[in-house]
Parts: sequence; C-alpha cells; structure tokens
Amino acid sequence: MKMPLQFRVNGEDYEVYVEPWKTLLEVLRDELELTGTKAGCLAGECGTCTVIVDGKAVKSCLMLAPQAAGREIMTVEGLAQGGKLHPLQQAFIDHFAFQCGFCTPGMLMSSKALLDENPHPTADDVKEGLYGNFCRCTGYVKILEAVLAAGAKPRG
Amino acid sequence: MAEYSVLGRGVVRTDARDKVTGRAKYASDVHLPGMLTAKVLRSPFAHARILSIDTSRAERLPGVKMVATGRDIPPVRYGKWMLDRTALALGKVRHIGEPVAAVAAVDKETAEEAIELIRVEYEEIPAVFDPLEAMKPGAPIVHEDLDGYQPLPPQRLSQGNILIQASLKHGDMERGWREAFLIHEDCYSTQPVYHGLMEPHEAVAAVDSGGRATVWSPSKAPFELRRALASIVGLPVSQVRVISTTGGGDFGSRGSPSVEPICMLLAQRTSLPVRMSLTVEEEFVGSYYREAATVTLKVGVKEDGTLVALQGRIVFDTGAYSDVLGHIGGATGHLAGLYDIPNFDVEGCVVYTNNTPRGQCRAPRTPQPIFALESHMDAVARKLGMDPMDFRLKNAVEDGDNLPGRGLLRNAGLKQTLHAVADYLRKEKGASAPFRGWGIACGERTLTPVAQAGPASSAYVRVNEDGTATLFSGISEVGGGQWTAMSQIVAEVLGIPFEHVSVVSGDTELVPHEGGTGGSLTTGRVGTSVRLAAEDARGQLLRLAALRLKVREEELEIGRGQVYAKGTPETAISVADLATAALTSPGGSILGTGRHLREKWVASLAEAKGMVDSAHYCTHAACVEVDAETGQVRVLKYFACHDVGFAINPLLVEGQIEGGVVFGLGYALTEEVINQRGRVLNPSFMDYHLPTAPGLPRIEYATISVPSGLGPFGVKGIGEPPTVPVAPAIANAVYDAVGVRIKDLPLTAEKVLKALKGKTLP
Amino acid sequence: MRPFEYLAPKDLDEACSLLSKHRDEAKILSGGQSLVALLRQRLVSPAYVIDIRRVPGLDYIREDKDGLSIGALTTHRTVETSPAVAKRFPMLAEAEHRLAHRQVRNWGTIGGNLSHADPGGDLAPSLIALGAVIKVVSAKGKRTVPVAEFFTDYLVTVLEPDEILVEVAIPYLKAGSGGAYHKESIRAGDRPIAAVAAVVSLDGKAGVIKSARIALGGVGLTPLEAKEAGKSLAGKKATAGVVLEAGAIAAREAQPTADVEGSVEYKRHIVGLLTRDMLNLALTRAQSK
Repeated sequence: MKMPLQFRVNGEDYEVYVEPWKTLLEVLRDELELTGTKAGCLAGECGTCTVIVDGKAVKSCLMLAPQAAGREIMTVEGLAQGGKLHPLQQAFIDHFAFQCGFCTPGMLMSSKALLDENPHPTADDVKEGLYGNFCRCTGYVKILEAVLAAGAKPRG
Repeated sequence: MAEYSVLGRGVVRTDARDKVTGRAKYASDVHLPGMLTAKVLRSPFAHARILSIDTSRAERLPGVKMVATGRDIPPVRYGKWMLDRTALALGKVRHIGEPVAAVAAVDKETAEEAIELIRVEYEEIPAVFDPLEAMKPGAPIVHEDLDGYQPLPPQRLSQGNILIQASLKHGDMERGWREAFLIHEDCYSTQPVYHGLMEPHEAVAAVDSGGRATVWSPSKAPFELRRALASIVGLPVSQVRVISTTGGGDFGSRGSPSVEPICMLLAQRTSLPVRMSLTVEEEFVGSYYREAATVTLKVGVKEDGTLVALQGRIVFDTGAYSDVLGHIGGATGHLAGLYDIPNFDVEGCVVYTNNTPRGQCRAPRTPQPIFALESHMDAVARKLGMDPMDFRLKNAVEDGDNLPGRGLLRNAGLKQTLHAVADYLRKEKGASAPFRGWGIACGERTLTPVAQAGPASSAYVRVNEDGTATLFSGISEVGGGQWTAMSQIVAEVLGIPFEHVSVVSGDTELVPHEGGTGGSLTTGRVGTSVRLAAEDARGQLLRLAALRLKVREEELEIGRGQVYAKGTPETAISVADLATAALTSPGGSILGTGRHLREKWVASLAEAKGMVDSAHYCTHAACVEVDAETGQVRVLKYFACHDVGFAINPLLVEGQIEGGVVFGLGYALTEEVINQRGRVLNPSFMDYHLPTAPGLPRIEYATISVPSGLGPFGVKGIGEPPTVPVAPAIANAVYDAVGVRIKDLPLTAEKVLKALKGKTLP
Repeated sequence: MRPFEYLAPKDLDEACSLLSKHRDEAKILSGGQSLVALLRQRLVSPAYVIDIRRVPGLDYIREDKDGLSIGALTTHRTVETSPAVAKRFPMLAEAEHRLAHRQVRNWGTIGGNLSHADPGGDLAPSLIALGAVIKVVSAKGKRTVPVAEFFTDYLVTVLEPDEILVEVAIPYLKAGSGGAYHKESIRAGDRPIAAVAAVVSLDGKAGVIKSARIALGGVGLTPLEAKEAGKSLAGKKATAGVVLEAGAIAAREAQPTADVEGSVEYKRHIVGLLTRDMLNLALTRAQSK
C-alpha cells in the first residue's frame, strides 16, 4: 500500500515510503519529523500548515503527499541558514509578532512567499497575502508591522 | 517610580527563537514509540437515554486495541469547579457531541473506521435549549442527580436546571426609584463564542510498567490537571505526572480537563502511549466556550445625570455542563464595577440546557454584563441629552467608593482612562459625517478579594555557578509572554542580565506547586512568588558577600552580575563567584524559595475593610461607518486606554491590548456559534467567522499607570480586560452613526439593516 | 480519511481509460482543495483517486482567434495574475482575486473548482455571464457544454462518471461590451452572502442595451443565471430605473436558503444591490470600450 515518494525538502533530497492518503503535512511531521509545520484545522482554513511548494505558499493539509513528488518544499525549518535567522524571523522577534506561536510557522512561510513575489509590499498587499493565515493572539497588528519592516529592508 | 534595569523594558521574549524556527514543542509534537491514536464516538442527540452499545464489530477490526464505553471507566465526575461530567456518557447523553465511546487504535484511519462500527441504541427524551424555558417548572431536567453532585454550589437555592441563583443587593431600591428623574429599562442578549484556538485540544498519555502515568498537555494549570486526572483514574496524585507543553492559544480553554481523561484511561487500559486530539469540528461540540447571556436592566438617574438605582438580571446558558460554581457573583458584580450606584439589586442565574457545554472564555462572564451595562448607559445619557463621556465621568467609580459585593476601591484608574479617551476624541473626532459615528465604552476586571488572591503559587530560584539563574515555576507559557515577564522579575531582583535567566516550567515533577495561569492574575500572583523566591536568593548572595567583603549586608549593592559595597564597585565579587563559593560554604548552594501567601493577601485586604485593589479599568473609543444599503459596519478607527498599573514589559502589554481588541471585534461583529436545537450549525473556521487581517481598523492605545498596592512592582492584569468593552463601544458608535441600537450580539450587517428599515437617514 | 488506491495516469488517454474503468468508484484529483477536505471528513470515500495533476497539456491560457481558452489544470493564481485575462476579462481576474485565499489559489485549479460545483464558487457566475463553454473528454469522445448548463444540483454537474473537464473557453467580448463581478461576503475570501456577475453589450449609439447576462453565486443549489433580469434589459436605454428593476428581478430569481451567511430575505436584498452595482460597472466598462 505504501508508495515511494521522492522530493526535496529544505534543500535536502528525501525518499520515503508513504500511504497515498497521507497529506504532505502528515508526511513532513510524521515521516520527516519536521514538526515545525503545525496541524491546525486540517480543513484549509487556518493556515498553520502553510509551506512553500515550488516557490508558492500552499496549505500542506490539503495536499496529498504523492502530489509533492519531485517538488521543492520549504518549511519553517529551512528559513534560517547556517544558524543565521532569516530577516523575516528576525523581524517577527523584533516586533513581537507572535504570542502562542502556533500560527507563526505558517505565517512566516506565507510572508516569505509574499516577499519573494513582491519584495516591498504595502500594508494592503500584506493583508491580502496573509488573510489565509489566522492568528487569534496578536490581532495581526505586530505581524503586519514585522512583514512590512522585513519588506522595507534593502534586499539582495 | 523606581529606576529599574530590566523591568519596564520590551526585552525580547524568552521563547522567541524557538517559536520563529519551529522548535517550540506543542503537544502534537510529542511522539512516543508505539503510540496509539484515540477517537471518540459522539452523541447525535441532545438528550437521550443510552439503551445499549454494541462495540463488538469495532473490537474485531484489526488494529483496534481498546474500545471503551461509560461502563468500562470509573464513574468519577469532574470539572473545573462543578464536578458534573464523566469522561464518557453514563446512562444518558445531555448534548449533541457528548462522548459515548472511545477507541484506541494503531492509527487514525483505523480509529475512525472503528468509531463508525460502534452501534448505539438511544431513546430520545425531551430536551430544553432555551435557558428561560429551562428555568420553568416542568422543563426537562438536564441533571436529575444534581443535588447529589459534589461540591454543590453555595448559591444553589432553587431546584431543577438552575445551577446557581445569586443576588447582590445594596442600598434601598424604593428610595432609588423615588429619586430618579428618568428610568430606562431594556433587555440585551449575547451569543456563545468559541475561543478560536489555533492548536486544537490535544494530549498524549503514557503509563509506565509501575502504573505511573505521564500526560503531555497544553494545560495552563498542570497541577489542577494532575489532581483531576488522579481522581478520575483512581491514582494517588504522586502517581500522575503532567508535563505542560507550549500552549497554542488559551483564552480560557486550557484550564479544565479536555481530552486528557479519555487519553489517560485508554493508555492505562492498553499499557501503550495514546494520543488524542480534537478536530476543529469536534472543538465546537466537544469542548466548551463563552456562554450566551440575556441581561435585563432598569436604571434610574437624576436630572443632572447622577445614577441612583440599578436593577438587573443576568441569565447564563451554561449548556449541558458547566464551569462555574460560586463565580456567578462575579458576573452580577460587574454590573456594579464601573459606576457608583447607591441602590443596587442584581440577580444572576446559571442554567443548564441541552446545548453544548459552556465555560471559561477570556474574562469569564464579564463581556456579557458589560455589553448590556455600557449600551444601557449610552442610552440613558442620550435620553438625558448628556454627552456619554460627561455622563460616565460624572458617575465613574474612584478610590474610596464602595463596590457592592467587593469592597472599598483603591488604586483605581477608571477616571484617568476616561480623560485620556476624552483627549483622544478632541483630537480625532473632527466634523461629523453621514453614516459615521463614535462610541465609547468602559470595561473592568474587578474581583472579590478572595477571587483575586487566586490559587496558591510557589517558585524556586537557583543561582548557578556561572552567575545565571534558573527559575522553577509551574506557570505555563500559553502565549502571553508569561515566562518572559517572570524572567524579567528574577533578573531585576538578582541584578543580572535578563538573558542570564532561564525557566524550567510545566512539569509537575520538577517545579513547586502552582495554581495556574489565568484570570489576568498571573503577573500579580505568580509574580509575587517569583519575586519572593528571587529576593530570597538575593539575600543568600548578599549574606555570603557580606562575609567575604567584611561589610554589613545593608551596605551591599547588586547589579550587572556583581555584588559590591556601596560606592566602591572596585571591590566587587561576581554573582558567579558567590554562587560557586556557596557550594562549599556552610550555607550551601543559592536556592531561593517564594510562596504567594494568599491568606496574607486576603487578610491585608480584610484589614482594610475588604479593599478592592488591582482592579483593572479601561475605556475604549471606536469610530464606525455604516453602509446604509447593506447594513455593514466598518470600524475605521479604534482607541483603547488601559490602566496597567506597571508594565513589566510594555511590548507584551501592547500585544495583549491589540489582540484583545481584535478578539472583541470578532465578538462584536462576526462571531457566533449558531445553535439550532442543540446542534451547532457552523462548526468550522469557514463558517465561524474569526477576524482576519483585511478590514481591521487602525488600533491605537495608551496606557496609564496607577500602581496596584498588591501586585509586584504595582502590576495589574492585562490578559482579559482589552476584550471587555469592545462590543458596546462598537454598538454605541453604530447608534451614533445611524440612530439604531442593536441590543443583540453580534452586530451583523443583517441586524443593522433590519433596524434601519423605516428609519429616515441623513 | 479512508484508504484508497492512488492512480497517477501519465496522459489524458490513460486518465480517461482509468476513469471509464472505475467510474463511480473513482474521484479525479487535481488541486484537491475541495476533495482533500471531503476525504478527511470521510464525506467521500472513493476506492480510487486518479491524480491528473501531472497530465501534460492541460495547464495553459491561450488567446485564440475568437476567445480565451484556459486549461483545466491552470491554477486560480495563474488566472488571477494572467496579463491576457486582465486584458480580456478583468471581471474574471476580480473573481479569482476573491476566491478563498492565496494558498488555495496557488494550488487549486479551475477544472477542480468547476467540477466540484460549489454553488458559492467564484468562477461560475462570471463564466456564465460571459457565455463560456466547458470542454469535457472521456474514453468515448469529447463534448462541449455551456457553463450555464453545466451545474445541475448541489455539488452535481452534467459530467458523466467517465468524463473529465479539460478546458474552459470564453468568447471575447465585442466592442461596446463590458462585465463586472462582485462577491459580498462576511470576510474576504468567504463564501458569498451573494455574488453577481453581469455582462452587457451596448448598441453603440444612444446607450441602448443590446443584450445583458446576469449570473448569481451562493444563492441557490447551483450557480444560476438570472435570465429574466437579463432579458428585462434588452433593447432598453440604460437608465437608473431600468438597472434598478433588473436588480429587483434578479433578487426574485435568486433561490437562496438561510445559512450562516444570512437569511433568505437578506441574500435577495444583496442580490438586488449587487445586480444594480455590477450592471452600472459593466455599463461604464462597455462605454469605454
């Protein structure tokens, strides 16, 4: 019943054997033990499970694992490079853009995809790009501040 | 104000790095070898007798390790205060979604399949869903044996479905009505709302070969959970270990046992680790959330705007199971917490129905009475032709006023917050525009002295040989920055950098007893025990330093990780050296202990004639625009002013205000758990409308500081109050904009439009 | 989720033959943004899931001579950000922009969205008003169905158990035509309280409406066309009164049910308002063309 799945996650090649009814979220968390990506509503609403697939933010709870074959996945664990935090992670820390932290990995991945596409977004661009990610703690104020601050920095 | 080096600063949260890198460990991140998955079968009926349960087909399914029903578990009732529920239904079900049977299986798919194979025969019996109906004689009884439950609430005066009926009286109502120039009466209702947890309820339980159980849960009261679980499974408390994992949101939902009892019972029976989590759909029927309430108010006022009488009645629908016990007094008291009203008579009821269970939610039983009170005060002011701000300033409580059911007020900042909002409105209000309006509302979180003292709290502070300190506390980090604030207190007292403090928390085997996080009391109550522990450790350091430096203790100062005689910093000994030397000194290692002595706290208040201290007061202002065609309310600007006493970390305080306001905006405008004959019609994040980023207003805030006489360094709680006045501020703004008063939350576009029908608009 | 057998055909022919073999026992998976949620809740439990995501040749937006053709596997986000769509059918980009949220639009496809047939889906009203057609194939052959006739009941379409949706073809608007779409919803990206798409063609001179098509979302068991409202406009001068009357007719044609988004009366009310507003916007766009 299990089938082989080859894909790249955070720059590393993986080959795992999975049941095809598992979602990408379940494979990342249970097989690869990359538990940074969070399982929230499992209905594609809350956004806690957001990862980047081939450059685009996707809800991993709504993606069947076999569809990830051959693709390039990035999770929150792949953001920091060589022990140095990604500018977005630093901005989230500096701006207190999290409280309980459960939405944070998904929020970061949506924000990264957003900034990759639009490096200097306006406040409205950020709200538009992030409304698929819920946060119950912060009221979004500091999250928007953090993403805007990361977007205001010169890049490259 | 004293000069602090760590307190009052927005130092980076202790959990920051873990949370932005995905390393923070939540309950779902606990993975044990051989772990089973548990699922429950839930009742499809609101009120029914269970005639039979056939689990045989489920038991035969390969991969199923255990199927349990109410008959297989000890008949122990539990709850946060009211012990009224069992882990699995016994004999009958009282709400749709009540767990009837549980399965532990090798994986989720097998557990789901097994659940579908269980056959239950029910006999439906008459149910009651409207609390007012449930109060009438002859209504179907939800708990027949209620009077046999322990403990029975002290205010259980009546029989039937009324769990509690309590009243709060003060002065002479007849006199009040006689003195009144105007009497205004109205009725308000509020809806049930869900906490909106991003991390659904989840737990892992494991039992070792000696029968000792360990439970991982995002509980905010791990010692409370330990006691409850021990009683449910029949173990001594010392045989149960609770490890509190990082909490993915709380808002009142993490204080009572949830999935843990079933999880632990199954782990005990199978001798294998068991995981159980609720789906978002289950959260809406298998958990509990904020009660709906109806509030009737009758208020008398003199011609000059002086309040003279208030009569009121609050009825809370607590659903099939309740989280209240003696606490209804709090709800009635909130009607007396904002204004000085000489004649006062309020009754509060908590009523069982066959709706899904209700309980604690961010400022329990406060937003409901405050929505009614603050809408009503706005209406009274307008009837008198008075500006709502002037009316509030005239009647607002201040130090020395007597709050019925609470005591004499001291260190209260309500008037200061009103003045701050008045200043803001003078700057911001500008010329009036059609369909635009401003509303204000006050909020409070006043508690009786006993409630305020809260549960016991204790802490240890160990000073390590490298000059750092470790705090051992049972406080859970549920998101508010609890660990950060406590670390700041330790750093300040020990005179060491904030980064040199680490926290060991959440494991009942490792830390001293702690009552738990909540009630906007954590920083005050737990902060007291943490401060005392740090001061104890500091005293030990100073004693040792005094011996070494050959000066008197009183002549020593501590700071930047050094201890030195005043005025001669060159003689300093480092904290690290002292902690190392302590190991071979007669006094032994540096270990401070601190206990928040609730009796001392209560006694000091009693001495002062039942003083109410540390009351949190706030005033909010909202500017809205109403679309007269659709009825849609758009919030354009929002301003919140809070008396925080003293902000240990201003950025954490800001976060609570911003998050609390948006939590309140959801309550005001879009959120409602819609029930139809006990069935939740919108159990998903698609149909339950939590606020999202677009459409939110600009939120501004100001804080004022009237230091508390109780909390360490003058702190007052901030977790709950920001949600409290939001709904009435919005409702009052809608009235200001289009002249209709919506008395029934939430203020949906449809309700506003309906109210606008037949009205002449600007 | 109930276990199933996962099949990944390498081309459309293989997909068709697998589907003709398994028919009702199979479900087609494309982006899965609706299907996976249904699988998780065990609301559907197919024995086979046929994943067509990697089938070549179905991911395109093509500007043909007479119209725009969009392959079934094109994601919502691609449509939303396509210069060709923005140029030809701004209303379609607007509809996509309000569909769920960014992550869903990044992975969900238009073929999956239309086949799922959610009555509140954002694409269908615009496609109906624009007179688009859907191309379907099966092992037996291919056929074309107007979008207006594609939906038959709640979550049900004319698709036979062996058929796969492969393309949507939208005829270009003639000069003097314009369209508009708006969804009124409680939050951005939510299911509609009501949604209205309107397309009008002017007679060139004197602002007479030659024809108009109005389609509604979220107010019936399927997306539906407000035919009478559209007809009421034909041959009339585009006055405020005529537009308002069309809104009233559309409100009557709507078949809403009460739910968390609103009552029957409120949804009809919103249909009336949106019809008026979308007609006005469509007229403005038509005049500028």
